[in-house]
Amino acid sequence: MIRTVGSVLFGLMVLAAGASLSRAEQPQENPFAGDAEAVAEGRALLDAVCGGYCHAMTEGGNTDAPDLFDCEWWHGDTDADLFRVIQSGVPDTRMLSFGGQFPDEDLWRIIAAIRADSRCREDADQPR
Amino acid sequence: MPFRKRDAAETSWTKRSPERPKPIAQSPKPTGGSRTFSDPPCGKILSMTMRTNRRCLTSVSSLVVGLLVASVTSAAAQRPNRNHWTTDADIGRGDGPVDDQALREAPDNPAEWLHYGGNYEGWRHSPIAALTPESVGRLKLAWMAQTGVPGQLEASPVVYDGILYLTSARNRLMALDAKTGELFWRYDHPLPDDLRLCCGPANRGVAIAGDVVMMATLDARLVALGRKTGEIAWEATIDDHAAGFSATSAPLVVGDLAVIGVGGGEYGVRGYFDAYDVRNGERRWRHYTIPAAGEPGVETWSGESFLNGGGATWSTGAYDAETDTLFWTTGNPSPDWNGDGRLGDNLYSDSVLALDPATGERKWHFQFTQHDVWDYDGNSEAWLVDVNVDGQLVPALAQANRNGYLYLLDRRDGRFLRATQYAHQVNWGTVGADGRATVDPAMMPSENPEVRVCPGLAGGNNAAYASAVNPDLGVAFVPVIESCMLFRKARAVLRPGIPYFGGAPIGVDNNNGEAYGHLSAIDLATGETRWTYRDAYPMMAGVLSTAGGLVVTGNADGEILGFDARTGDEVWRMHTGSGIRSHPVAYELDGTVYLAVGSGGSGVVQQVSGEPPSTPLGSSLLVFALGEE
Repeated sequence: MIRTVGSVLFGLMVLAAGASLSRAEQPQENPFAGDAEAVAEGRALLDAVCGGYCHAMTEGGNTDAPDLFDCEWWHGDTDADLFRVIQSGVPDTRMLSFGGQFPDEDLWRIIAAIRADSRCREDADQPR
Repeated sequence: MPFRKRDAAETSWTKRSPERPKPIAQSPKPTGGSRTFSDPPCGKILSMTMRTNRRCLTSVSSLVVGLLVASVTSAAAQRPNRNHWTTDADIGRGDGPVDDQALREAPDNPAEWLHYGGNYEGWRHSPIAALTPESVGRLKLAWMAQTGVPGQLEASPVVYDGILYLTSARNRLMALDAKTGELFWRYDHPLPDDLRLCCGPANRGVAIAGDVVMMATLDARLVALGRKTGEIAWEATIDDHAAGFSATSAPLVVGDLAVIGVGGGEYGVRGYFDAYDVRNGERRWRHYTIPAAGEPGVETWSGESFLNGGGATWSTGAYDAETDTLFWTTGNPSPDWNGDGRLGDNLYSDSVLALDPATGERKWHFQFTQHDVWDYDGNSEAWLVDVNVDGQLVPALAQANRNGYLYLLDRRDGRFLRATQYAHQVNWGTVGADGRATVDPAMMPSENPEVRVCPGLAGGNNAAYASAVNPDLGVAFVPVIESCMLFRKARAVLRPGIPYFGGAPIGVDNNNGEAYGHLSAIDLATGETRWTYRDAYPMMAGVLSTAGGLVVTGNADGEILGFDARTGDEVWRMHTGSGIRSHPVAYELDGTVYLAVGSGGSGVVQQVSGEPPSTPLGSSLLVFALGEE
């Protein structure tokens, strides 16, 4: 039993090291930020797979999925946080893992579209 | 009363959004305490008494290793099942196994509520004459049950042998004393983290055959438990949930078969429904709702679009014992809101299918919405009713379809008889004398939609809840959603296990605070509306009708509502504290009449259609007893 637990713990450490390496390799900022073509592609993907019964694509929409454009982030507000959430999903919610089904570049394009269409700038002058 | 919006500074829920964050509930710790429970989990023993024994040490060691292994495998790994309590001794009154005769005669025996739809015909009509518009004032709360899983309590309880079987969201199944509410046994189905759900973790109830009670699960399984002990009898895997399959409806038992459908129309699955042997869980047949290459109907799909054509079957069917015919309904073609890649009628989506229950062979079909691009699922429940048409009594099938029209078909051959508008607002198209729809081209989804389309994506009536039929009056009581939308078309992106929406509808009436609902009593012989009750929000709860002329349902505000079936006069209104989406049932035990209503609302379909923003989640069953005069 002790040997088994030891092996599993060793495996966990190896995997954790690999995971942190993998995270370090991911850009911390969006390589497509401000890229109009990437934003357009990101919008198309957002509309295609993220709307419907999930995120509202317009202000005032009401679902249990967070508003992507109001800057009230539930799981971190950096580009890297958004990438992680889209790639890995959020357990026990309807937020699926999109990693593996889309290339990383497409996930960054989606983030670029979310940032471009954010209402934060408009809201910045208003009391929140 | 509609909720009064407050100023933004006052609260955080003034944006018509539910309180947040609103995580889906974790399986709670055992509440324990009942002497009827046996074999409590080791974790509970250790934490409460620090008592140890060899079996628990072994189990704990296994659990530690199991947790470690699970953590290094994948996020989709199954969680350990920590919540399953069984009974030491058989519960019940000794009524014996549920047999074919009991299922056919339901609900003639008022002590039972055996089918999701009340009877095979889907009427949700109780034979209890004592429940009347006049007697409703004598209903007193007898007991309550808390499921502990807040939100989307959509189930119709099943009652048999003095036991009430209730399911909650996330597949918690409880066996309760139908007279007192005492919890006899409980099963929480272990669910993976990577469920593929369209619209929340709902479950709409169980079915009983012999001595097993069966529940379909969100990870696309069918689980049978001994109805008297709660022990698992068998478990069948319907499909791979990660591919987009789920199961939320109550099975329908016909003979020795349990028929169950699947969800997945939002994930580009190829829909089907299955029949399992109630004795051992072996699959006896599978009926695909979308044809394969070379099969009849495949010509109604352009290219190879039929391969991911949808046609989910996520509601409970009906059965005509006289002609031995099973009726099952089908959902939207995939992708939902972009039909460019699937030109044609897209058979057999949005249809009702008539089948031989022994073989699953199709006898006939009728398609309600050809080439659907609004997600007008055909899954609303079918009512088997005999209706006088042009002076002749016709064995008919009626359905309040999601597209806003109430259809009447000859159930012997599927011949179209009539369609009448039941939703107040319908503008996507009209139904011709042959039953085919003529679509207004302006109502098709587009990249930049400007035209408000009615009904919205949830439809005029949604299959997540069932209407009731009073056969004596020839009237159906239909809860209706009035919430029109813009339908934005987008790219159709097909990836395994990823939503295959092809669009993103935009709420209009909901966002403007103009969505509303109504309960309409519709004369099945004429299609005319006899009376209508209007509510401030879309109505999305099941309905109960009684032989005493009472109609019971609920609203999104959390009020139980009672009406006089003949006049529509409101005779009962009672707040429960959370929205009502469940299906009321009635039963009579030892001379006392009971009425059970579940309280626990919301869910994404209700959110996008319209609901009071401040109403909390909940999940409780209220059981009322009818007192003496």
